Amino acid sequence: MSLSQQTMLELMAYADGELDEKDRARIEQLLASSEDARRLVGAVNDLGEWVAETYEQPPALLSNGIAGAVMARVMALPESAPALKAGGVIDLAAARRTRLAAVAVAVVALAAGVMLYARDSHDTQTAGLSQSRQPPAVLMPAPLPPVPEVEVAAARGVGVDVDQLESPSHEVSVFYLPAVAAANASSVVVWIGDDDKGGH
Amino acid sequence: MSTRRKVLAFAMASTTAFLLGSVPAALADGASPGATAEIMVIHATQIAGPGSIDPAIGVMPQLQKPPFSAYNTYKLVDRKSLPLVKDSGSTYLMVNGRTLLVTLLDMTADRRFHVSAAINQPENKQAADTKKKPAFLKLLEVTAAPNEPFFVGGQTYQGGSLVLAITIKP
Repeated sequence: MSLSQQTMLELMAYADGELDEKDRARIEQLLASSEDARRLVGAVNDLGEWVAETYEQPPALLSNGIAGAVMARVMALPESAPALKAGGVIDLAAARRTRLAAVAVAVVALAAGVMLYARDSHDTQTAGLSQSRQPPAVLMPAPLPPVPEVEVAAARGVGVDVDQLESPSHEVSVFYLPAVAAANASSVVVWIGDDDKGGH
Repeated sequence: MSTRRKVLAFAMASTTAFLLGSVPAALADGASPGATAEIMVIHATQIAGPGSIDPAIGVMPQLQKPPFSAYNTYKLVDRKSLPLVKDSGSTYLMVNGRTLLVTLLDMTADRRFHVSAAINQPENKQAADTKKKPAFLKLLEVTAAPNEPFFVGGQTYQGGSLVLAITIKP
């Protein structure tokens, strides 16, 4: 999706009917030209309806006319509604379970994302790329033990090491440069005598 | 913020966190662990006076240490980024006619790059002596931490020397 975060927020505000006339006209122009924008507004509206049904209390219940609101709600229900068949009782426990399930799914997704991001992917690379990755057995993040700085330094090598050097017929010198600052690791200079005068 | 907004924000944050975790995981599962070799070709000379370092080179305190301290003027001649794919060499034609070959050999367990570099010696076809000359740098293998430059110097060029500063970046 090619929409910026600000644009997405404005599209959500548009879907909620919160924009003034000027911004609404601007967003409607965007909707006319952007498939992504239309898709987002459609998704917001669909999700909004689901959320409204699942989470939001009917405004009438917040008023003093609660008896009238209940009766209006009962009258509005179709006769075949399961709740009425079960004696006209709405299963609040089921609704609560639905809400908890939705929250649990979101929490698991967040936890899985954080775990995947935090784990060391390099070990898997070196262990063999052909191995298939198994899903994490534990989905909830466990507290990580503190890692000593020495271990961190060992896990992430610093500086440059010369492993092999061949330059027949040339004089070669290798200089190891010490770190010049805490954040700058040592380095290596390979200096090769150019007796062939390869330059211009 | 309405309940809908809260649910949307939470869902977006969860999705973002999941994607952030999934991308490195996908790389670890089979994508090629490539890298980039950033090459700076620097012309080192010794001139009268205090000398200077080309601002285009950036911060490179190594140039003030031996063996670079034998020169006092450094000018950036060229800068090139070479994409590196494991076991596949990338070449770069230098200003002196030689060709630099850089190959990503492996990633080490301590997250450094094992790379090789070689610089050929082009034959002078007009010279009477057609005997093949040895490479200037037949083989250099280094293990370098990401973003830590290593240097190959010594090629004679226009009254000074060429210095290659090679930095491997993930």
